[in-house]
Amino acid sequence: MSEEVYAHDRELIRGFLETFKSGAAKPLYIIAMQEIIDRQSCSMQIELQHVKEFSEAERDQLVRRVVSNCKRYSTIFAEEIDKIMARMIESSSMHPDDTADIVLRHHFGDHRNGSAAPGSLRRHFDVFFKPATGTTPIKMREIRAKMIGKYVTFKGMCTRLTDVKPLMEVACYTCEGCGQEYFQEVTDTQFIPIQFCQSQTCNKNFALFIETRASKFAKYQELRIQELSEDVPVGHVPRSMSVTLIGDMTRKLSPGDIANISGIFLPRQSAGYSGSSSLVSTTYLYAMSVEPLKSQQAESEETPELIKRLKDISEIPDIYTYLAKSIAPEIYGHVDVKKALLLLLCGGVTRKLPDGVKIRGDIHVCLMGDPGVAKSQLLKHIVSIAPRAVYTTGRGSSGVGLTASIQRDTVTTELILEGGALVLADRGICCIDEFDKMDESDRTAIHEVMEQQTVSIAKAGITTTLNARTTVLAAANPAFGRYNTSATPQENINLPAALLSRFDLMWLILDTPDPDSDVELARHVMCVHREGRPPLNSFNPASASELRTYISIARRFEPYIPEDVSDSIAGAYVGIRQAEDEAGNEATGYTTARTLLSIIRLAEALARLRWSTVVYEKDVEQALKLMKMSKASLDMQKAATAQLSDPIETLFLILRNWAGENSSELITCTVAHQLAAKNSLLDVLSTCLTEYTALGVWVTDAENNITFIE
Amino acid sequence: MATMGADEDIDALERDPLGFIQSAFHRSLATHDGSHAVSDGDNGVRAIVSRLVASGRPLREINGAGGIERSRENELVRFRALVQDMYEPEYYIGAYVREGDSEWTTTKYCEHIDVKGTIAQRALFERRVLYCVPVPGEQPWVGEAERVDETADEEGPRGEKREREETSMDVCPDATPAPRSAAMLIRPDLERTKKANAEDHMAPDTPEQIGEGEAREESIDQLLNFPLVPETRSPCIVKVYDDDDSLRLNDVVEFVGLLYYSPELTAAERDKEMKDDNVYATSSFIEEDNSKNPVSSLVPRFHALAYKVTSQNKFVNSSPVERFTATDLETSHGLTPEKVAIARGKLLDMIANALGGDHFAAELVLMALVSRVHTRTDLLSLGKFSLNLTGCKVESSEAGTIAHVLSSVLGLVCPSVAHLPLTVPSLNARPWAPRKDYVYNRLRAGPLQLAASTVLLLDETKLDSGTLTQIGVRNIESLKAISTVQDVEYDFEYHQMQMPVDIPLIILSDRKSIIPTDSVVPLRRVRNPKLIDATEEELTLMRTFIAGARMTKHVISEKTSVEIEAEIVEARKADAAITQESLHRMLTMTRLRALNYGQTELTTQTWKETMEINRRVAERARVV
Repeated sequence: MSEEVYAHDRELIRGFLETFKSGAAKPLYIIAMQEIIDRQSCSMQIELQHVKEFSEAERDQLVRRVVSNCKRYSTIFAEEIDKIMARMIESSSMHPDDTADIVLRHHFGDHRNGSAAPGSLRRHFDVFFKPATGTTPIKMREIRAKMIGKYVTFKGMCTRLTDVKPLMEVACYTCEGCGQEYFQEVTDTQFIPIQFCQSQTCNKNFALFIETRASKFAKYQELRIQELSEDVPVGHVPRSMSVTLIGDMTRKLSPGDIANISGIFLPRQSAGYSGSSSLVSTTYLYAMSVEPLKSQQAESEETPELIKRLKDISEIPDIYTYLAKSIAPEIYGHVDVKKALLLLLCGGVTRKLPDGVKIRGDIHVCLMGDPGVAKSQLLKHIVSIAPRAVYTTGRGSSGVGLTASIQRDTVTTELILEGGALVLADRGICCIDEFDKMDESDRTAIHEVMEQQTVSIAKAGITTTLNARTTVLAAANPAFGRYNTSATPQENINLPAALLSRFDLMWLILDTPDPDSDVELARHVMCVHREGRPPLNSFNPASASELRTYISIARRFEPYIPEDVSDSIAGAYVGIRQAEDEAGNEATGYTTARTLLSIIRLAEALARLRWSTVVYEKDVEQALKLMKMSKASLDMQKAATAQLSDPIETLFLILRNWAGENSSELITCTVAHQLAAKNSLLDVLSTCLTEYTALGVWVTDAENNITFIE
Repeated sequence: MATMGADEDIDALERDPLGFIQSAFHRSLATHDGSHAVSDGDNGVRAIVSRLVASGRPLREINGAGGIERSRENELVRFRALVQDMYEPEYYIGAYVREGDSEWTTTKYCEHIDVKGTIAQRALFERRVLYCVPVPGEQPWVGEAERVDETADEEGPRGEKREREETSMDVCPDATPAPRSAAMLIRPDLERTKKANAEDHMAPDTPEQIGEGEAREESIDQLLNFPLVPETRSPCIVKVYDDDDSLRLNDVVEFVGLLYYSPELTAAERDKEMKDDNVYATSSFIEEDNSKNPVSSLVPRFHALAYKVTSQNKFVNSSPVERFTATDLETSHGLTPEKVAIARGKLLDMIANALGGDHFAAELVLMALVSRVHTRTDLLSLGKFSLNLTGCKVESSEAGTIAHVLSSVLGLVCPSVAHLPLTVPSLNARPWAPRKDYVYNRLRAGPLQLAASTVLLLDETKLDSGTLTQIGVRNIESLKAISTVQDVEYDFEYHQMQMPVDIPLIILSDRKSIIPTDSVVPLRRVRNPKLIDATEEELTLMRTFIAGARMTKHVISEKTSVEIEAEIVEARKADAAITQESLHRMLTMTRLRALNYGQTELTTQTWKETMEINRRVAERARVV
């Protein structure tokens, strides 16, 4: 591009800097320049949006040129700003002089010999362009060779960074002999220092030494930015890029931070291309704007087409069942469980009362059931649908556990607080598999998480409370590997009642044979194997992205409960309480005020599902029905117990109870024999021993002494 | 030789690849009248290379006979490898005009060039960089049949040994030609690993401390980054020139291109060069730059002219031509039923002998060997079958443990096998799943970074009680994930990445393994494990059978489907413990059994037989 074009643009830029107001009283950039003169700021942030607005008459030309030839234009901007500021300083009598200014002015007047101080020595600001509003960050993968020299904006995660170091911009030398000063501008990462004094008096007899105090340094930091995991195509490794930060851009990020970064994509100047040296040039990004993002913002992919499709979906009469079936379509059946999970995804409304009491809106669900009924798969699927979710097991594979732990940083040896899964899942869902195998310490902490939604820590001198506004989705195995039909639900669920009451819904998933559903199941499984997908038969499930977006929109609704509906909730609650009272000892679970809140939450979630701001009577009915179903899944087993009283299982229970009462893990063969004889079950003793050994509940030795396995 | 003359381009390419590339570049410039700016196109080279391969001309595999030291400059060669890591794309001067010259010259497919004079005009192109390692666990017999004849190589048109030594001095034209043994100055490191005992390769690495702030040297093992450690073949940094994103991590790829390998450039010389030219020291992240630009004697550069994503099995039962032209990976072995019966019989015999005479268990091992994930949905990986043989502890026997004998048998018939001992120290030693090392910005390989169809044989019989560290627990989780969903979680420190894999898993243990598997079979040994011989002919047949059975496209007809549905309903009536999960498993086993008999279609008969197998497995479990 010829200088002429630049000359024209210089005019434009000067005009822009001097006059652009954007509705403000004074020209914006004049104010900014005054701040620089007053030493209140050392960077000039120019918003490309402003340049765009200013050059609109010119059909966006200037801004396009700035974007495509950014390095050159940032120099032009800087030079024009220098000129304007020089005028401003001259005209103002009130200008505060500091020592540096006086020294500098002295240098600028002194041109007798040596090299004159370059303009950049006097400049104490950097020009940075900010991206125009509405610029969507591109994927790192889309940055290609043709973008070299251009202004690009992308999103990434910082993985490594260097310390902030001084970068020499202008080197100043003093001669040992005559005191003559020399200046040298440094534009590269390396430079060759001037060796000898050029003045006639010294005649190269004296060496020069660098005057650090008169030289100009800039803050300099290098980062490594890695592509975000969601931008990486399947089977690829995340790309990364080196980013150079200057001046005010430094110290904005630390490892693990996600940021929108804009800057100029540049090749690194390497030491020439002659001889045997490599032809490869490395590239980096000269950062001009760094905007750290609040930890992974759940950005759903809301495109207009998707919204339109979702609108259509929301018209479906029985959307509740439709969306429920769309959860994990490969897993056949369990529609009620899926409904519960759907409501868990939507959640109720969190309320904060004027007196500071918070009522959670999260719906906690606990799934129980025999091994092999796809509990873990359901959990994993929820993690993939939910905008924010963490999957963990009760044991937790890391040492941090579920809540939080204090650890010592290996580098700084300071104590640092490390959040566990529940803290990481704040405002999301925490899926805990093998809930029953949870550590004792986590189990106590989870009480607090599930009701107060915080984690309190008082360890190693750190006392603090962390937010854990988490929906808990737990999956637990029955106490003895398999669900024992002859035991009560409480016996099977090896969890304290205080914890259980915190779950809004408890679900027992059992796989009971039933000719009708078995045919369906068989067809389902066969189809998956034949076609690699579930059978279509008139049901076309919503895709994971549709489901995700639908739910994230639904979560924005804050439904309220009209008076008549709240009356009916109250009525229903009283009804349940009475029924339970009548049932007496037969009752499963207790209905408390918590139950009432659960009903409200479920009803709210149902209203959200309809994209509605009002809870209807029928939402409450649905909520009650779901609660009843969840109770029934536990009761059903009890009904079965009455009919089926297997002597082997009865004996097993007797043995287990004995072990529990005597708190011993070992039952000697004589004791087992006595117990069996006492209950006239001696004939089944050996069968019982082998059968439960096969189940892995206990082990027996040669003498038939029994040891329980935890 | 019939094609000679029929296609001049092919001949020209074979004779002088770089010259041909240059002329193709000029030809495409000419069609643009020279007025157009030079473009980063492929100038039709790839198509001609594909034609050359399709014409059936033999090309040397760089890790084949004689190894990498045999390579000549400017010779088209093949490289069969696994994509271990993907580096950042490289921007390079792809074409230039010299001062006082008017012609553009391209530097595509070149590692270094010698520009006499200064460059007046240049065009910046982009290429992709992949770190590729030889397929881990690959057996030495793979590709043997395709090896270019030694003598033909010696008598080749320019195949004089002396010439090769002189022409390979592309980097330092002025340097005195180094004797051939110079390569060995660096190679001893490889020799060392070569000698390392297979048993010891899971021993602890040098303890790694990441983020100590100081630049530290990578050990040679870290630099080479092999998933399975005793490895004698050479990895390559492969540069790919087209814009296509089809290459993925862990793909088995066959590249055709040019190899750049300079045995005389040692690390010391590189350091000197670095000081002189400052080529590498351009960033603050020196460790990374060093790690990604190792001396080419350790990690040669390979510039790919053409490539094809393929499968290990393809090297057993298809010719190079078929491999390069095939569009679908699924094929059948095309063996007659009689041949299948022979292959199957011999295989069963060999496996059963390795297992101490248990034919029933051998059947199940054979099923695991031919398993392949054929369909993946959000939740399921259909087709996988992991097996756990219990009671495999053998005190002593002249042929070695069951694990050793079985691993030798599998090595004879499966293209790649990974045999890993599962002990507390080996689990705690290092992460088995690959993880990102941000200091070097590389993906650190782990023994679980395996190509699809690599049989993973875990020997749990030596597992003693001990405490697993965090790393150990994680490794167990990784193995569980392979067994249950065929996924490996790659550790990127700030996030985890699920990588789908397809690794048939066989676990040998004394008691039930700590890793849940699809089937647990107690072994019934009648004698000590024994390795029985097979003729070369039998071996070929068995290899073809296994590779073919794995890749067979398999169908279930409408009629069979309905019949099996009815069977399932009946089965559920009889046994309530049959869940959806177990149904998937049984159908997979049925499919594998059908493949074992060379059938491509599932029948109700096979389903019934599979139910019987399951019953027998359950029975054994109860009695033991």
